[in-house]
Amino acid sequence: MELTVENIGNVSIVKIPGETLDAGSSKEFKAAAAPMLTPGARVIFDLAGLRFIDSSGLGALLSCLRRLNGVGGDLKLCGTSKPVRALFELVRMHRVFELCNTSEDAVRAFEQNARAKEA
Amino acid sequence: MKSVPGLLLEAVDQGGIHEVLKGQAGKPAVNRIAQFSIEGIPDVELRLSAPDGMAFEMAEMALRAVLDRVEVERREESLLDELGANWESLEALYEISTDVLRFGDVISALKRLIDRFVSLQDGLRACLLIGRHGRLERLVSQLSRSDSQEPDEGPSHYEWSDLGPVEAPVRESRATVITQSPNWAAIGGEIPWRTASMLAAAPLTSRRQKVIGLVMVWREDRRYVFDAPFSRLLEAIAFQASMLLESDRLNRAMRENERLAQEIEIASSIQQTLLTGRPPVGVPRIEIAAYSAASQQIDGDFHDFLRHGDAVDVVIGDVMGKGVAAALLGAATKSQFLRAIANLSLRGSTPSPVAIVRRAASRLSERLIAVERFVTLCYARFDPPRSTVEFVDCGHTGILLHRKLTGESMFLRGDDLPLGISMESKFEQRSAPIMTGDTFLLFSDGVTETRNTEGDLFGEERLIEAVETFCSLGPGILVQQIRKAADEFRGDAPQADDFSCVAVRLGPKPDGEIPERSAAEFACGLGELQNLGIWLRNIAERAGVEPERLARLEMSCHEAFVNCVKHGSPGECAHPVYLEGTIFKTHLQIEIRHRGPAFNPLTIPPPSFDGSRDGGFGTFIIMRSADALEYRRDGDINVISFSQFSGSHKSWN
Repeated sequence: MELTVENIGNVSIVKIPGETLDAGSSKEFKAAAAPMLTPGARVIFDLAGLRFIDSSGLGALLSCLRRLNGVGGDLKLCGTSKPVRALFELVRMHRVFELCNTSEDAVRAFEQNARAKEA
Repeated sequence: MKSVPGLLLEAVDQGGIHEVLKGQAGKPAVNRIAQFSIEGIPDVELRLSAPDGMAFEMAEMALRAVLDRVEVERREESLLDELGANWESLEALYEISTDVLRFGDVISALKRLIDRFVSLQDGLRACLLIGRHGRLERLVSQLSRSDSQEPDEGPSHYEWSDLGPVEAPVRESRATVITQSPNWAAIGGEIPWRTASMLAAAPLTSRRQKVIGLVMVWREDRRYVFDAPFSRLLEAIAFQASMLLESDRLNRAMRENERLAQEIEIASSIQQTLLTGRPPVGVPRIEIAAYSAASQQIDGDFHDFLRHGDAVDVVIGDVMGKGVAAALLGAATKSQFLRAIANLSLRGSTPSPVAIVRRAASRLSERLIAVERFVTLCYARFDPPRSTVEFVDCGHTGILLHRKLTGESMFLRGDDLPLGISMESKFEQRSAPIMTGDTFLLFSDGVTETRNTEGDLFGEERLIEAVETFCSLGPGILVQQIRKAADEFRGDAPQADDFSCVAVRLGPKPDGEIPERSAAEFACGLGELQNLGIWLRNIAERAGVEPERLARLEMSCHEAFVNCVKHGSPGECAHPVYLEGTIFKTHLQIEIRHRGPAFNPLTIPPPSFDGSRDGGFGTFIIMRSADALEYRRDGDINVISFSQFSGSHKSWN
């Protein structure tokens, strides 16, 4: 799986390819995302193209979040479609992940976090 | 040493100087003298004298070797004594353990233990004291058998300070021996050991090493010494006495538990026979299950069911107070409701819930007020043909409704007073529409007020959570799972209240038409997920399932399929996964069949919702997404069946 990465300042926006992130693709996704989970990295996963996500896909995203948090980095998600959002709410993961509407919102949220830290 | 000329060895004691050994005759030119003490014989000294340095050194070496040998022999002897004492205590222990069975009560066994101990020495006196409410109570006091005196009983209670110099070590859980007669005059109090010339004590300790009392022994003469072996034996006796007391405590606790278990059994049989009714079966569209468990202090929870054609009445109530009186009042209330229904039904039509409540209340309230008791209850009628639930809520817990079609949970409540509060109560009937897939839960406050060891309540939030997770599996499993969730939450805390709940689920309307079927076979591999999705969307479109509900159906089928792939062993994965969709007028049913190891969603632990674990979401998603879910095992085949009620149909209700 090839991930498209766009860097804005020190934030990386990663577009998740394909329409589904499920048991069939989550392993591949984890392997492709691993190099981005470096110490202090600030990462946004753009899920705008995803139509469907299952428990394995969710597990892969959780594993990325935990790895990043473990090395002082952070992860935000954006562009969740209605069915994807519904799954996050069903398993209450909308309380664990920070979900933003667009990638711009997510970048702004990172900037605000940084400003809050400086203050 | 005898061959050394001029050598002299003498023993010196209080009686004078005694010659022990004398060397060959010769001029007694004594130039060195040394004195030796002998360990263990404090009052005797040896005096060695020799005429010159060399003779003296040789003799001294020989004497020291002899004395060392004596010392070793003496130690061996004392070791044998100790072994003897231990053997004695082992014997005593054996006898005592059989005595407990023989005497059946702890005091007799303790008496025998102390009796055996004092018989070791003439003139020995002993007593066993137990700490109670800050004082010491004498349980046993004994004299040695050869002592002509009668045991001096003295008072039965003492202060800790009456122990004098023994108090501090005993409180610190140490055995102690006092060889000098203490100054009892300074201590005061009437105490039997006032005349002791020496005394010893050893603490009695509980299983948690807490000092619970002591064994005290004393002598008035000095014929015997309280030496180290004696002290060890005393400790062994105290240890045995502690064991006796502890095993007696455990026995009593066990008997108490048996008594409690019996009470619970009685309470439970009252509840099962008088207070609970059996849910009706075979009512179109209605599934009902009930669960009830009496606490040790039965508190009069009751419930019953009554069928009127295709409608079912559920009455659930709780009598204030506990015990058998509350249980009988619960049974009386229940029977009053059945009489009210029977009387009102004589008029021809089915009486309304509010008419039944008013009638029963008019007969009950006065009596309840007279005995200062009240009853909270909820009377509900589930009427699928009229698509309504009508209910009267008299200060009860309300009805928890989870609506599958919208995913919402809510409480249906009224605001009438409990029966037995006022004769003026009017009672008001409320109603709400019911829809296919609705699950209703009526319950006693014992459910939400289940407390854990920290004192927290199980509460409505956890109850709603359990209903939302398990209602797809049907009322029977739901009530069991609610009990399980409450038990897990409660942990080791006791069940304080009766626990009862009744679950009602409304199924789809029978449509009488021949349903449309569609079957498919998929290879057991993740590569088939896309095809599965296409097949599902196609059948859902034909059934008229609207997009949001289709997404949920897709989710549950997808997770179930992945489960077959992930958890079937490689050989089993060679078997295909069969899917069959049946389109009913009111709902779509998908059945998945796959040969593989047994899969029961209820045995899978719930996921962690704080994000700390990746797994466990699949089964949770299956249970939450399906409107109705059924799992069964058909030979070695797992069969899981999902129903999704179709939103486009007007026949939701």
